[in-house]
Amino acid sequence: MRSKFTWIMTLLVALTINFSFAQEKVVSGTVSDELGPMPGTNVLVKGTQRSTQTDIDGKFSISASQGEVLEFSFVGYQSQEVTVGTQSTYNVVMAQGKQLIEVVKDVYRSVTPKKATMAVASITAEAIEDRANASVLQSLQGQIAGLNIGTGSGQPGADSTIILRGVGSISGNVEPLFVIDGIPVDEDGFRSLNQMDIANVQVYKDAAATSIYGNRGANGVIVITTKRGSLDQKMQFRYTSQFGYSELQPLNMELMNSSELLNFQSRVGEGLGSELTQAERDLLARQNNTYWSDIFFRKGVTQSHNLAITTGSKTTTNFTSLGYFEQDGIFMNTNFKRFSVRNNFTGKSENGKFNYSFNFNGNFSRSNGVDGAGSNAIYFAPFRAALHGLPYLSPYDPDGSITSTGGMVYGDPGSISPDKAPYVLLNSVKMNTDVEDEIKILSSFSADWNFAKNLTAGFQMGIDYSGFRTLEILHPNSLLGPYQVEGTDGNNYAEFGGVQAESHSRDFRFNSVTRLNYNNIFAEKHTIDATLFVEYNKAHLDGISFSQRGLDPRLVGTGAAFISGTVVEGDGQPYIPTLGSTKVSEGLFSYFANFDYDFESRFGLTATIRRDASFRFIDDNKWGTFWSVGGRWNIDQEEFFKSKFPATELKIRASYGTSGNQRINNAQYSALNLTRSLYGQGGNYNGSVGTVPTQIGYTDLRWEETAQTNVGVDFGFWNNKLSGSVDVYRKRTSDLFQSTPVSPVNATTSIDTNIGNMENKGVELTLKYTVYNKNGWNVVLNGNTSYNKNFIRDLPDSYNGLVFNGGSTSLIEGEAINTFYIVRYAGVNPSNGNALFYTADGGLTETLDDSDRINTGKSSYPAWQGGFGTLVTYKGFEFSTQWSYFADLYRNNLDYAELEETSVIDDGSNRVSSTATAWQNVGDITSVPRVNNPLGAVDYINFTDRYLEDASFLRLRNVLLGYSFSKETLQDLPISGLRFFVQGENLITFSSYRGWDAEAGFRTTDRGNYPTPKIYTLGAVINF
Amino acid sequence: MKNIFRISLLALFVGMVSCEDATDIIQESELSEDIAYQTVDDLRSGLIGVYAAYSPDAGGNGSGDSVLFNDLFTDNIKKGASSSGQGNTVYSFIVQPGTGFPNSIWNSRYAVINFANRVLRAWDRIYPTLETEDDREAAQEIKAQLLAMRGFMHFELLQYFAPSYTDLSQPGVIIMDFVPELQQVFPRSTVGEVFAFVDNDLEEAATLMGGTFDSFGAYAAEEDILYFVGPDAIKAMQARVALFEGNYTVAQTLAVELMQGHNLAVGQAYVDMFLSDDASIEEQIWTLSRRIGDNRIVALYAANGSGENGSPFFEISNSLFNLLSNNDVRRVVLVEGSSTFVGVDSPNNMLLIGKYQGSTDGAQINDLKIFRSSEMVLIKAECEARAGNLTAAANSIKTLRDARYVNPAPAPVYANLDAALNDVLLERRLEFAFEGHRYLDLKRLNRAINRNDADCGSFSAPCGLNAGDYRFTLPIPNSEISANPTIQQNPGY
Repeated sequence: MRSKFTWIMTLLVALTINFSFAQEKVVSGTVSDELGPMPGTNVLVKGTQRSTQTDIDGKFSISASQGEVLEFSFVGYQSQEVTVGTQSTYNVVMAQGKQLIEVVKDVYRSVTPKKATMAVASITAEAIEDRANASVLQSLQGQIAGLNIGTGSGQPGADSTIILRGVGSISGNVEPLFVIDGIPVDEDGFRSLNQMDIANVQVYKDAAATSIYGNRGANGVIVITTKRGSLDQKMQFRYTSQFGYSELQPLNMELMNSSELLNFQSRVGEGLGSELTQAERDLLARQNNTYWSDIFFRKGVTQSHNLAITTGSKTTTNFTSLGYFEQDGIFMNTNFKRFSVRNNFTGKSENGKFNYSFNFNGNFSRSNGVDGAGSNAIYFAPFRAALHGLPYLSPYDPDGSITSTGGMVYGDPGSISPDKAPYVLLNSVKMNTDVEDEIKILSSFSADWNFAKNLTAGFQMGIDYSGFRTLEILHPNSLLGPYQVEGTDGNNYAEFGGVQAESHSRDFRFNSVTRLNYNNIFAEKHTIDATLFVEYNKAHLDGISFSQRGLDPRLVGTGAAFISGTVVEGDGQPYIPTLGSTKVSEGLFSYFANFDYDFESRFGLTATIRRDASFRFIDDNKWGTFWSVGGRWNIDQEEFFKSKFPATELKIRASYGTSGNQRINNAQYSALNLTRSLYGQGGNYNGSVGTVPTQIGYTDLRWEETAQTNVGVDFGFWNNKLSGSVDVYRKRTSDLFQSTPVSPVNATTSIDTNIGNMENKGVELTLKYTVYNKNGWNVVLNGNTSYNKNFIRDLPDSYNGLVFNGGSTSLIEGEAINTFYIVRYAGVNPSNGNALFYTADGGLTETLDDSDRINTGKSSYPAWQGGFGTLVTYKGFEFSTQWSYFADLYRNNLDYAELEETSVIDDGSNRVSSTATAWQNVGDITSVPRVNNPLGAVDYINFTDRYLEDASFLRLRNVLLGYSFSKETLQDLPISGLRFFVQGENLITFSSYRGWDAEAGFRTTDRGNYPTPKIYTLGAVINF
Repeated sequence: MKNIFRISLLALFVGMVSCEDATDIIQESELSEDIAYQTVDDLRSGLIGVYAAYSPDAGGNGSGDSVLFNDLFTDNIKKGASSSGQGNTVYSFIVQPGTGFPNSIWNSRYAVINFANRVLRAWDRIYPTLETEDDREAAQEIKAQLLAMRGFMHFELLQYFAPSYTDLSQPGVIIMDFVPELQQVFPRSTVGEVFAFVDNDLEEAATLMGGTFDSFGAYAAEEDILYFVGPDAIKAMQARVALFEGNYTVAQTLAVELMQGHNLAVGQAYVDMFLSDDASIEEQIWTLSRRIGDNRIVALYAANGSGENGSPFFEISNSLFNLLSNNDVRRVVLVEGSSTFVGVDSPNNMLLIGKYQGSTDGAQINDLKIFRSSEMVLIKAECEARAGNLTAAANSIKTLRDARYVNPAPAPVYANLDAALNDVLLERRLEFAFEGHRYLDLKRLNRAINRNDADCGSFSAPCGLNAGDYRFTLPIPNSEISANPTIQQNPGY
């Protein structure tokens, strides 16, 4: 492999020798607007990667050669360009009222939006740093067209599912690549990231943008840049704090109260209500009418503190931040804490030819949670218990406190029955432990050296380290504790109960990029920027785990409590622990080139080509070649256009390109060696250990490839009073990794191969409209929307266009992934109260049969997604709203199905009010089948569309009211800035979905999950 | 000069990055065939894996393999008290290429064959490197077992998937005597070719094994020898194959030889053989060892064990129960003690399957008998009858009944061959109930299924299936068809 670099080196030598050395100098100056200095303005040497930001006094300093052009840009201001001449000081006055302009800067290149040929959307710090979500990703929902953020749990810091421009793979990874300060990072580790550190988030959508990330860019790329200091800046402090509460969203369904449930049970002759007289039922209903979610859920506290220190000398800048975040979950005994520290340092040589930066970010987070979301094991499903608990059970002990046993007898399995599930869960949640700790370290170093005229060499390396520890203890003295160890002495259970399961793992990922850049302007018209790269990636995961059954109740917490595996009870040893140990590695290697060309800022061309090798593939399939071409035409730079439409900006972009997905199996560190046949110990017989094949290798495995076409228009009318962009795209994934049948003579019936293809096509629109901008008022509306159609173009031939493996969804050619494939529910037969279904050809039947399933065309992934908001500022006041929505997505509502269950009544679960309309007499017209009908909730979910619900929603994701004190007010105080705000998350949701939360992370079926909360906080920002 | 220095510096930087360690990664947990199999002991552990892969007793909750299928599809089972509909499709004679049983029987037998062929491939590599006579001897006995297993698996496949055992030109099953490449597909060989292949494998196995299992000390304690394919197990396979081939002389000779060293268990010994898994009972020729963690055979019939509280979804059919007299020790084993008998053919009879009640190896853990000498007696009887010696056949039957009955009964008298075969079939039904024989016996002897009305009524299923119905041959399963569109399906499907 090393020899393949020979040509790169040859090229490098050839390029270098032809050019003499540059005459670069440091230029500096001040950027201001009509009100005064403008801190944070981006300063870019056009056509290069050199950029900086102005400090708090609006000062900047950057190295540039005579003839190079400095570009100044700031959000909401018109950008300015200045050509560097003989002087070294340039003072620039920025004019307000132009569109959002930022520098598009990724790991590999930086370019201004006007010159970008790529489809890129971005969000700045203001849009996220005030938000009260533990994971910054949740704050991105609804802010970028085409970016779906689905959060399926209300546990603070819960991981979100992120899908950009539709699902692009059946088995493989579907989430975008995340890059923080140049380091590709684990997309699931965002709870550990402090959002206060983020300067900017950019979302790369089309092939021109993502192809340069070839080996991992097929699902898009999200580039996060953290804050930095500025040169020549006095030391500054910024303290931010928030305090607030979170609470449960309202339940969108009507549960029975005690009286309704007891009387219903009496009417149908089942359950406790049927054994009581009317007077007894009335008495019980008066005594107890428990709304169990009030018992399990609570008001949680959120608080955060953050201190940032920035400073800069002539040649160095530094940004240091310390953060603490703590948020209680709304479910009892759940919470999340995070400590974080960051230091971003930059330095440069006196002549500005050598620049380097070093970032370090260390985080520790602890998440106390509860397991059992979505579980069907009723004694281990806490959220289900909160929804399903019987209202006529009292949650109190005789002394008036919330009970932890419900009067059940410890150690008597007979006292545990399904109706007591809420008591069991209250007990478990109080006594058991479920902790996840994460130590996350992100660190990167980068340097570039302008070693010859027009030539810059760069190197960058980064690490992403995560140390995980999970600890779960099922306390031996909890109600379920005694039943955790199977007996070996003739008793059902061993003497000691309880379980402690613990795991530790370390995940270390390393990335390095070496590059050589050539940049030049010919004849003052042609700008050329060409770069060669070599990239290396390696990742290692190792870990150990154990599960000990049998704990001494006096010592629970550490190994001191473990009953030894050698203890004999009766014939056997019941306390032998199970152990695990893993160690795996991944690796990627690439070399690639990028070429940018600009002609008089009117036309531009970007081309990328890369060769990537993945450790997952072998021989000819190891290397994938990916490329892209993008072009733009800045029509507004043309004379004929300028003269006719002077206040209009218009740019047309088009791109086509390919990118690869080598993470053909979605799980991290999986599909590590599918090309090889492997053996392992197993297949034990008569007490001897066997050796058996564990995997049949498939040598022809290869990259999934995504080819994307994108056409976009960026526009600004009336001096950018209205600005925005429109993009249409088509994304086609070929060589899809999926299961294909093989003859059983191979000792297996299917293997995963690259076969079939899938398509996403859609349109995205982003708009921003400044409604009013006078007299100190500024009123801005913004909105984005996207439509994506996902469909499978081709499945393995032998499946005849449909892969159905039971359940409610299947893969169907021509339809979206996760399309519901079910029998249509036709209501209740008035003559006998049984459920009726439509047969495939439209007749009626009472029997569920797979052959009557039809393609509904409904999927669990949304077709429509977007958001809109307003921002109003007046003097120091600001008021903003941000709405988000998903539409045209469907979900099976198993919670509701179980709460409307009529096949059994006495199952220990409450019912929704509509259950009382169950069929009773011949001729009854109702939608609820008779009591004791043969089909249960799970039958309806797996087979029918009875509980298939539209999960579209519109949500007021965030609303914020803030006030910043003016400088004059503060002049006698030792502080330079002060701002207060109140804000709320998820305050209002409009959805027809029946449950706590319409948002569920694109699950197909929902039962007993942790709903996302409403969060209100009060915040303060102090600068000094 | 300065330039060259700078470039060298850069070149050094690029050169530091090496590619192979990122792109050629072998995980530490990977075990390749070359490393997995290097010594005779490794080959033996491969053989252990082959034994473990053979599980005709796999399944549960209504699905399964040959042990459940033989009784469920025929007349030995009725619906259990705790049934929620398990098995009612197959009981209703609905068998299709997508049905679980043919898929399981086909897939798991070919998996055993594939495993065996992999060890045989390694054997060919390792055998020439062996240096001691002991190692070579041990290796030959390993190969003998691998070949016997491979042959026997082909034979079992043929039993279920060949429409005829006598028309040798009919399609049989796929012969696999090597490790195939993924995505390769193969046609069915003829019945004659498969029988020849099976005979050849078993013959070679017998030769390699010789008269005694010399290296058995490396496997387990001596009393465990019945759990492995030794000389007698190979011979038993040959006897059964010969019976199906119609080589009655050969079958009878082998059966008689095997009866010598394997006396029938009488009385309590018979009970202990099943209810205590007593390995010392010499009636057993080859038994599959089942220990904690292995298949629990009772799970084929009941959710929580064999007793009345075990949530049985399958029970003994009234028609089988009615055949079991109190004089018959087999009743003690077949009918679990907590069964409820209300009246003849009463729908309230709870007739619990007792053959797999658990053993000293563990609750719900039972060995599975594959060959017992009682089968040899019955093979002998059948061969005698077919040779026209009806009296000898009747005496052979009496030999078996004497071992099973508390009070001996006189020898039966057969009017003709058909009557003799009927009696052999009856005795087979009682002897091998829930051991995976019934469907194949009816098929081989070309008899109909005639269920007791109370039994088929319990499932609301059809009560009979004509002799020679196409469903006495299983369909080539979807698992094969979807990967191998050219394979020939059996008639009727």
